[in-house]
Amino acid sequence: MAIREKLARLVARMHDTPQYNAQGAVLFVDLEQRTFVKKYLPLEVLRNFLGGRGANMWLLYNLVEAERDALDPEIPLIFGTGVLTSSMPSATRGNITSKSPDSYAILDANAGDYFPSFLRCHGYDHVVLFGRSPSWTMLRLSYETAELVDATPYVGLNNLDMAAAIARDFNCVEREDMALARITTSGENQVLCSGIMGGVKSIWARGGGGAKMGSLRVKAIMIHGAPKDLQPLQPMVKYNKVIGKKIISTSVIKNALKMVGTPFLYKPSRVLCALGTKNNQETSWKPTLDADNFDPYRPGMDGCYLCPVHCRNQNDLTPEAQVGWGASALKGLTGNASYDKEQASVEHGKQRSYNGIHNDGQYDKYDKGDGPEYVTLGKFGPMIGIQEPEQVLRLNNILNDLGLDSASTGSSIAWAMELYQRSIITQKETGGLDLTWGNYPVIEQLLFMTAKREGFGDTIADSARAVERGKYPAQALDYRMTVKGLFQSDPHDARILKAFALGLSVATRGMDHLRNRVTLEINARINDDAAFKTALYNGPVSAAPNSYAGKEYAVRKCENNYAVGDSVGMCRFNTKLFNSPSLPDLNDFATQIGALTGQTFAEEELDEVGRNVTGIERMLNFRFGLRAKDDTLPRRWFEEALTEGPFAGEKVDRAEFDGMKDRFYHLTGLNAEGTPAVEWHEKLSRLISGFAVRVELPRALPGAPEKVVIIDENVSDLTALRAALLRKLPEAANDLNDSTWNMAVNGNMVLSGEASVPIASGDRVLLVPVIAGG
Amino acid sequence: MAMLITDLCITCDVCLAPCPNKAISAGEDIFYIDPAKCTECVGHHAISQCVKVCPVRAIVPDPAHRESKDELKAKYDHLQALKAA
Repeated sequence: MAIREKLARLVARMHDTPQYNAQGAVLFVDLEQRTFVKKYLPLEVLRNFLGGRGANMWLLYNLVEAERDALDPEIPLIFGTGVLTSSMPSATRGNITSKSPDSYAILDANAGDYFPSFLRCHGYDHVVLFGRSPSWTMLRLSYETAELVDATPYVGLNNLDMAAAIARDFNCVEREDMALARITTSGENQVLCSGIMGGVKSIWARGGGGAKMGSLRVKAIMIHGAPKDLQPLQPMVKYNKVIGKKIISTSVIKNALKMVGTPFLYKPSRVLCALGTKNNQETSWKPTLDADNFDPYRPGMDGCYLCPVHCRNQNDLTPEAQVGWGASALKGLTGNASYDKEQASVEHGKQRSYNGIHNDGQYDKYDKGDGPEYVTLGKFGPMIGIQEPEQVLRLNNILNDLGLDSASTGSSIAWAMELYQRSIITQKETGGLDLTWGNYPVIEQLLFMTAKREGFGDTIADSARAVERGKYPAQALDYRMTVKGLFQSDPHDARILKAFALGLSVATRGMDHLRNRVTLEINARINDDAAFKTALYNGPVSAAPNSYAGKEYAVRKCENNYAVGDSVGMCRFNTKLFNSPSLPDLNDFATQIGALTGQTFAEEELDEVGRNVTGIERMLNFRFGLRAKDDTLPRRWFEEALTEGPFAGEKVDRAEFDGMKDRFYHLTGLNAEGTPAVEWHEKLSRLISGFAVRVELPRALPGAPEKVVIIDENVSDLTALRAALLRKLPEAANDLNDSTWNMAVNGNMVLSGEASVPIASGDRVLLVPVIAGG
Repeated sequence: MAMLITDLCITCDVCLAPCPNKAISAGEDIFYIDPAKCTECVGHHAISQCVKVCPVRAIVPDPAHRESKDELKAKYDHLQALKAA
């Protein structure tokens, strides 16, 4: 396998012992040969990419053969925890990283619950899986012990039963002495919109991680044993109190997230008429799904490991439920009703009315669970025409058990429904299913069919790739709400908020708000204070939500903050700029990184780390074939104006958008193809692969607008460099194969015997067209 | 021994719900554990639930209330009896 050669080169650059305080190991697991290698990352990875998402990208870049299919076993699946995961309040998170089978971009998903913290407490910062196991397996980790356990008895189990079976068979309790990252039947069947579950609801959702893990025949990773040390972590402990206080004293945390969770966001989007409805054909939906309508079914809140917020609203539809947590909590919160202050006092007085999904007094396991988040509420409410909170709750619970990403699954169903509405598909294609908007029984049935890839569920399971897999005609792409092949995560229709729109277009994993969301630009406190806003985003940002002016500053700053947050393991909700300007910031992270690792960072250095993380992601995406044209938005948002609300008539102007994107590229340090410009690219290449050769071209070529290409594959001679150049710029193959283009290395023309001309990092290569004449 | 909440407490309240003995309440500046009601979760869980969830690790064994496992179990039985009465 080629990945074994890459791994051998990589581990030669790694270490046998920790390089800084509290560093965990990287465990490489060859699933085919059932072997393990344990190493530690070089210090420069921490200095330039931190851990978690950033270090995951470093590992992926060094191991991936970009041309391979995402589900090829030689494409690794990488689990990573942040530098501060388990050591700082709300730093509970970890990322999974690979090439996405769902989109055309990187796969990078983030989740919390207990698994990332347990992984780190057992001494591991990263786990890298590759190769296909001969039979279904589970990786069991317990401090120094790593073993592959037969998982065939667990095949066919979904989320809830899987966790129960492991607890039973290993005599342990999830969240006490066991944490489990597992796939469900969806993952086993390589459903492209399936995730990896880390708890009852917690999911590494975006990009098809479940399918990827299933393709390796890994049913689960089990962390076995309670964390050994829960005593105060000196010397972090005093400043952890500062951070904890900062979090819980923030208004939106205290009054909304701790009380009802993210569904509080539904009303502001609804009132603004910016709520993706019926596959974004409309932008407003029923008040029946406002958060207070879930009051009769909310028994309490749950949270991730060592988080002071506990934002996860639980649900219980059964008659015995002890409910009412957070009831009326949002009443009077005017900050939650920016465009219609009167909405803050509106309550619906919703009473419990559920009597079983068939109204027959019968209840089952899907009448209780965790969630929904606002994403699930939006995607399984307005997006598919559902208006009853009880139906949303039940669909949410089914999605959690089936391990489906609610964003991609809901969007995939909404896409199908619009195609059905337009008669682009009929009951002939759906196998007799009536895909009318809001047809609850069919939607519930379709979820189970999707997990099994049964009937029309096989089409939904192909997610955004249904056209290329032959399920829909090409015409269907006109209605696919994706960027880089990934359906939108957030229910928010961003035709109004231009910073939000820019963020969705340039997000490195596809159409996803969690990479750079800038909704604070509609916050009055910020917009009424231009100087404050300028300082917040490092540049002047227009106060008008629908203006294009200066929005690049906001997106850039948010990308940096959030990339650092992911790389230290901090929850997005508690990171400055996502929900509030008052939440922990880069200075806070720097203080605790210093206390834990002994490595000092200035705020500016961490900001640069954030840019580096998005830079390496763009370099990966470039290798996967993505270019500047892929930093765009769905056709609908450019061509169809909003028909209702305070911003009726609004859409995204292509010329204005292109200008805003160009400014974002310039501010970020990207070239015209959206990849790091040459100096930065060369620097990153040295940091990532330890190798960089600058190749100067005689003219700008497709994919190389700067007339320079950086080769960061460790090539040994000029022939190998030519091959690497072709892999890097396949669209320029005609020019690069031109036999009249000679090469000069460090100023010395090579006229023959390229295979014997050695190449070393730092060399300068010039491509020179031969000039005919005499 | 019973558990003790130190002045590192940020009053986030996440220890309230998981306490099986309802031994925790809000104090003036920090939360407070009633040693008469705290069994360190003996009788309910393998590990103390408040320790498990405290985000700032502010909960430690109370040196002023040292009790053996047997004494904690006896306290648990006593509390259960009171509850049943």
